[in-house]
Amino acid sequence: MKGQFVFASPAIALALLLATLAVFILGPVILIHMSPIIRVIFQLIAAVTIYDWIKNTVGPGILSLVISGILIYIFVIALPGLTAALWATYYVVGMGLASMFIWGFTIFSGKG
Amino acid sequence: MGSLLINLLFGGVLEKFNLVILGLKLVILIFIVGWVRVHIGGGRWGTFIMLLIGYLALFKYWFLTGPIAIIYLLAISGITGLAMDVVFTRQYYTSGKGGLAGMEGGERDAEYANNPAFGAQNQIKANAIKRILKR
Repeated sequence: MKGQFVFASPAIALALLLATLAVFILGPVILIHMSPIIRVIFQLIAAVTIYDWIKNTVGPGILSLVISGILIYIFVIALPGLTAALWATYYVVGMGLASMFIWGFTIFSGKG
Repeated sequence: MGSLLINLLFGGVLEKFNLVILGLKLVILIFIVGWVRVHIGGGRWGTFIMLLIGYLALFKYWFLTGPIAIIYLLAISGITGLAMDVVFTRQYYTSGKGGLAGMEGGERDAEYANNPAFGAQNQIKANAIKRILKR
């Protein structure tokens, strides 16, 4: 890799990195704004995930239903775009995709 | 312009900021309930401690626990690893050698081997290991 420049400069590599991350993080947000079906599917999955998490932590009962109801209203009904972005960020960062892009774009920038 | 874009994309998140804070408080309450149930149990004492920690963390000292909770949530989602990646890749650009540590390690090893300070340190370490092995 020494002496080769796959990208013209580190600035272009950085711009491409940010664009890739933006596609991964804002893609789901734009999708749920464009398609009502995808939005409903995402809301269903998010609601079930929230209820399951609270039922496992608090235990089955009225309290878990009330808390999960409030959280589902806030994060699924009122702010689905924010939830989609946070969810996508969590997966992109948590599964190491962002690290892979950072290292990849840096190494292929080929300073030397 | 930026706030308009954020509001359009995230469904009026800036106007519903109090709702987001309420959601964050509830998420932290769930963390507290989970921790107390695992470590103390769900009996009378557990409920009392849940309420006590919940009151202290979510109302009385929220100015302290709020930022800590945000940092905690970012840390468990792996943002710290991302920061480390950025630091290491910055080293790639600023080292002046055009390589990550280990990728073009031959030059780096030769440089260390020719450095008398590193040689002396390595000799000290080697002698210490020999002494330990002799025991």
